[in-house]
Parts: sequence; structure tokens; C-alpha cells
Amino acid sequence: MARRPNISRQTHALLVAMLREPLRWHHGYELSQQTGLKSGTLYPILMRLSDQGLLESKWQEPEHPGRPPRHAYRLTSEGRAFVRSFAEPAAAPARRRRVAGAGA
Amino acid sequence: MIARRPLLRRMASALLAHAARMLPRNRASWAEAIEREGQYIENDAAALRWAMGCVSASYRERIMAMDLHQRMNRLSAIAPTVMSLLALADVLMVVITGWERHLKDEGTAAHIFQLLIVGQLPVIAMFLVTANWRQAAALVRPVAFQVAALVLALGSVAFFRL
Repeated sequence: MARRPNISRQTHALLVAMLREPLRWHHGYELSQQTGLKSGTLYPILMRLSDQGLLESKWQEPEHPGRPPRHAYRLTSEGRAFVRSFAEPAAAPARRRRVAGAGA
Repeated sequence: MIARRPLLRRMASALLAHAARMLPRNRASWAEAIEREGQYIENDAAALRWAMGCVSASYRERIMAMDLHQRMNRLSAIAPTVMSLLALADVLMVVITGWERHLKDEGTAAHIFQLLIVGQLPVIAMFLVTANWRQAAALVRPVAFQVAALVLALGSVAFFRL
């Protein structure tokens, strides 16, 4: 059984939020709104995840002219696998209950 | 005539620019990202709060990038304990030798004691700023030593009624 990684509650919240739409690019302020993390907490986490290869980023051209390109983030394939590796044990009992209920 | 941006927006922009400058050079792309993200926040007050958080993040990254920050943390973990023990030694010296016991007002020994105790505050602040809070359990021992030494030093003053 893989050892559960030691990550903070804030990092866990961010990873779970990004995993809900794993292929979509997210912006910093949007992630802050979704997770409740302030920028002072969010950006260090994003930097760490990027350093570890779990997060990728790119510059997106603005939808409306007159604004600068904006940084966007999403989980890499390694990042998605990482989140699923510790998210699935918690989800497994719920899946078993749903299966048991369906068979009744 | 070009309309001037609201004060909160100007403050937010200034803080974001400062946060971007404070980030280490290897975080240049993040510096730019932080500064630009603020321009997408419509509400000026929210943009200012965002900018303040970014300043906090950039200071933290700058400190964490320092090679000596771990050394500073270790030093600032030990120093308060040493200072408290020196303060205790100061008290014991007064008690044993009777130095300045006759003074009605505070003398040199008292001033030394006060400086050793109050002087710990910036050191403890340095310890807290440089601590690795992801391994909070490792902080228990140095904090326990600091508290124990401080209690001994302050308790000795009360015990000897100085």
C-alpha cells in the first residue's frame, strides 16, 4: 500500500479543486475563490507544485483586448496521478456503499 | 483628461509591483504572473487584499531561498535559551555575591537581566519567521527549551524576591 503523502490541508484543498476539472486551465484568483486560500498561501503552494512537476503553467492571451496575458495552471499527468493516489482510498468506501445499495 | 485610478487600485498595483521585485530571480515568471493577476480582479478592495497576500508570499519565498535561513533558524532557536540562562546566571550572581543588593533602584545587574529577556523578542520573531511549519513537530523541543529557560530566569527573580 502506497504511503500517504504528507501534504498540508491547504495543498490538499487546492489539488482536489483542480482535479474536479483536470484538463481545464485555472487562474490564480479563480483558484483562490474556489478554495478560500488567500494569495499569500496560494502562490507558495503553486510554486512548490510546479517545482515538483505536479503542476504546469502557461500564459493565456486575454479574452478582451487591453489586458496583459494571464498565467494559467493545471495539474500535469503526474499531478493527477498523485492526487488520485491519496484521494482514492477515501473514495473507495463510498463506492462500495453505492454498489451495495444498487444491488439491494 | 485621463481619469486617475482609485487610491485602492493604485495601492494594489504598487504592492504587486513590490511583491514582483521581492521574489527571487528564479521566480521571474511567477513575479510577472502575480503582478498581472491583480489586473484581472475587478473589485479594488479585493485587488488590494490580493496584493497584500502576494507581498507576504514573495517575502516568504525570498527568505526560503536563502541558504542561510536554516542557519538563522537554528541560531534563533538556541539564542533565547542561552539568553535566559545568562539572565538566570545574572540573578544567581547577585544572590551569591550580594552585588548591588543594597541599591534601592535598579542597578546594572537588573538592566542586564532586562536586556537579556526583552532582547529575546526579535530573536524569537526571527525563529518563527524562518521556521519550517510543515514540520511543526520539530519545533516543539526548541520552544520547550526556550520556555523552560525563560521560566527559570523569571522564576528566580520571584523566588529570591529581587
